[in-house]
Amino acid sequence: MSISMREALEIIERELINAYTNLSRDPEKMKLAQELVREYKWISIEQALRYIELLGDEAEELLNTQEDEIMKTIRVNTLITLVDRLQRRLETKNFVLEKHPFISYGLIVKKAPYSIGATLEYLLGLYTIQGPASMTVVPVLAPENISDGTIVDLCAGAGIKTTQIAQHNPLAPILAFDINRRKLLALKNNASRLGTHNIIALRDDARNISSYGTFKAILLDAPCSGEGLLPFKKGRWPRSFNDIISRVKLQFQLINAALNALERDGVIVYSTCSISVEENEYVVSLASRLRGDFTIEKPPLQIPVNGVTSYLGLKLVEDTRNCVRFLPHKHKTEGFTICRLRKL
Amino acid sequence: MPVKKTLTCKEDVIEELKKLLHRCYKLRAAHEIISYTYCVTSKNKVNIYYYKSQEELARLYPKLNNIVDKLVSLGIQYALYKVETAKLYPSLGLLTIIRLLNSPPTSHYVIVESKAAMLFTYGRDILHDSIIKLNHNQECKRYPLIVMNEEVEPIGFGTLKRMNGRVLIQNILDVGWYLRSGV
Repeated sequence: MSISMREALEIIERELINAYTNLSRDPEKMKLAQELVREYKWISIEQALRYIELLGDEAEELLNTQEDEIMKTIRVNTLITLVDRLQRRLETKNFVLEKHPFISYGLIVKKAPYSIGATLEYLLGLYTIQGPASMTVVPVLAPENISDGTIVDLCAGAGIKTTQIAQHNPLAPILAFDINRRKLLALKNNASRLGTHNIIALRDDARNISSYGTFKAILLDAPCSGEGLLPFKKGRWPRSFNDIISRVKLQFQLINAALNALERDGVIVYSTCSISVEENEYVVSLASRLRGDFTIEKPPLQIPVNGVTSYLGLKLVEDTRNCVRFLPHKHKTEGFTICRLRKL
Repeated sequence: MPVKKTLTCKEDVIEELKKLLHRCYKLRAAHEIISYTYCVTSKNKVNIYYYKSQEELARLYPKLNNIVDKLVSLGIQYALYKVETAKLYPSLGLLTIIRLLNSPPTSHYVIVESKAAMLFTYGRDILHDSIIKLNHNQECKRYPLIVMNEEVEPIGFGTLKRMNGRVLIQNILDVGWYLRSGV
């Protein structure tokens, strides 16, 4: 990077505060935002302003989307069973299932006589529960194409995507990092239940990744504001401008560390469960502006490519149009943004 | 002073593993499991893992022994060895490995009816009438039986108890633990 991290973080603060100040001074948008806050009491005025800027009239559709409108999906563990076999088995227990629109091993649960997370099949590791958009992140990385070398999952959490990487590539070693011991214990249980034998889980700060070497493929599912989870009760809480700025600063440090540890021609998939442009296209654009050592590629599978290239007057690079955005009110998924970067 | 963790399995641990996998459960894949076994040894216990990838761990990460303190998990944990008692405890990961390698036990197991299997995954014991097949290896009394359902899918571990001339399989650990543990 051409400047120090401290200077980069100052740029983030300056550019976002400037953009938010201008947004707050727009009387028309402020009036619309106040109306939204009156109707949807769980959001902040600052959040409402940002959604109006991003989605215009669709902002209310987003806020009005309810949990039961979002597809409930499971990921079949093809390491242990076959999709059709599991589908038939669950159907004999009166579950009604359909194929996922983009993912061959994904199933949509249309009807469940009891909780899909409490079946014997779940306990036996024949499937796991994973959101319809979340399930798309690993196929965008395409880890099955890594024939030698290690794959990294930088913010692995409970290991849902880590075990999905192992499903795509059961041969390559997978280094999984997280700072949270409890989440890593959940990862350990998931690896045990799902039979993934090639994951090495380490408790460390993802920003230390360079000390472990360089890699060909890195998944960075960064900690975020969770603005993709607005249809769910757990996602309905107010976010201030400062909340977003602090997330963006951390995300920038993480993407910079990941890029430092990426081999030439290697791939990073940067994703968040957030629909905010600041946490996605802006983070990637700033990294591109300050480093200039990667391109943003189209995903290697047929999914909607609709990245944002213009928002709040922020300097976004043109390539961000290749990012993938899942919007709850449009796609009936949790909100997610996914960008695939290749190092030059 | 804390004991430095290592990845090497000591001979006594390997011997116990051989006893469990070869001589008690008589797994076809016993040799393969032991070949890919790593031990994370701390003062009182040894966490035993099955880790397999296209490259040997030692060659891939010659420095892994230096960062083993940061290691939380390696592949699938399938047993725990307690140093003080020199006892080996198989864990749920072994059942997954058995399914993964399509290598069901040919000794020291019990097959039970569907309804009893379901109740077993809720933590209940198995009564005499629900047992379809019992293969109890007397030499392996110190290890639990592998409990399987009618589809020969391993669902947990139990110990054999005799009461008034009837047999009871006491629940030691079952796959329902994945939910009940809350982790």
